[in-house]
Amino acid sequence: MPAELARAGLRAPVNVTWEVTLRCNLRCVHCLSAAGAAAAGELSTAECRRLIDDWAALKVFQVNIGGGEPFIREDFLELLDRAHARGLVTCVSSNGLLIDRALARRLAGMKRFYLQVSLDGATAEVNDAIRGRGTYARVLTALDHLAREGARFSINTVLTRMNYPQLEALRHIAQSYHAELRVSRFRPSGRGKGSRADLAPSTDQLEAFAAWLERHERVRTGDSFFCLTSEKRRRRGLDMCGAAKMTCCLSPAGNVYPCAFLQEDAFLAGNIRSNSFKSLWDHSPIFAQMRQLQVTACRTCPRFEECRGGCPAVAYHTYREIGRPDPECLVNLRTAA
Amino acid sequence: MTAPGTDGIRYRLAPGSQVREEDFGLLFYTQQGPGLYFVGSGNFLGEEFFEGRETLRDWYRRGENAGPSAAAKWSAVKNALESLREKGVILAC
Repeated sequence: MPAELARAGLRAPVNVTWEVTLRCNLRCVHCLSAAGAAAAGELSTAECRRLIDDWAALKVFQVNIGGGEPFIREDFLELLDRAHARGLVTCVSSNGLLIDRALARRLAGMKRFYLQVSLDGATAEVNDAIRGRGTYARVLTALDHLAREGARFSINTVLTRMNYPQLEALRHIAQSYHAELRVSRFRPSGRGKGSRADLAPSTDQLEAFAAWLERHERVRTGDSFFCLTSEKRRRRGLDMCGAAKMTCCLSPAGNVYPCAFLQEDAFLAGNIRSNSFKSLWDHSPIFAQMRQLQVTACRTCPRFEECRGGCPAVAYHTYREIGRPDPECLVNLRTAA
Repeated sequence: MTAPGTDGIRYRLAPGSQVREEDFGLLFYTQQGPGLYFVGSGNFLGEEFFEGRETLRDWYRRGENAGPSAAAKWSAVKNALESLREKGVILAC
């Protein structure tokens, strides 16, 4: 039922992915946003405040905040406090480098707040090859601060060819902090386009990863891997692409897209400086197209009800078409193997 | 026809839960998980019902959806609410 109801269009997103800045103190080779320097025309504090108020009025439930590195914005804690005060739940993705003891203490006191800290390897050798020299040690220091202050957090790992052999070790690191491990899918957008050939997991690794997930119910995947997961696991999360149906993405300069992985001109719904967020959500032609998207080639697939064609963004970045099957779904992987 | 809401139970949102009205009915979100729950209740229930001030029977009696043809729908709504209560999304009070 949820899939059909969502296809008809909700009155507001369930959650919004908000890239609050493109500024970043790292240059990760797989960054989906190609973060580094600030984007031209990033939203001001006043604009961000209005946006938060708009989302709260629309009863958006959750705002997933990334970037760039969110904590690099001088006004970020004020914006978080404002979101929480208006009833929004926030989930912040951070590289952890700016989290010292004082910030960890502040974050530990937030009730409507989740934190994901990125770690892309269980050793400095693997993590630092992706995220930059010295980052492994600095992230572990941040995790120590968070754990000592009693903050709830998860460790987020983008699955790559390099860190696949370390999944068990990463799970143990998370356990040692009483944190969850969240594994995200490598998406070939941003700098990921250029690093896909070297970093994207192999067919064998993806298939083995699907089996590994079955054995580890506590490992979370968000909705990243619904194209790979079983019926049992599917019931624990979103079983379809939620872009423009349940979620959308706001860029640092106020552009609205169906999802963070489709920040291309062809998918631009509009900008909140010239349209209200609500009008873009309700009336954008590209959002209407995404809601009606049917991957017809998959309709006869025995797993259709489990993945509905998979991730349109991966299809787009592979074939330049969103209506084609996800090349990394379980069936296509087995065919390729 | 008796009111299908039964027994005078009031419901309110559990800590960490939110609800909003949609065209199909009610959409619940709970911070635990987080999780989403769709209740196809149409216009039978509003968000304010979950402030815990009225019983389901009160709501049913004063509503516009109290006709005989609505009985089955009310029964489905009642079951959905009980299911949400068992999952900890809403609380009986």
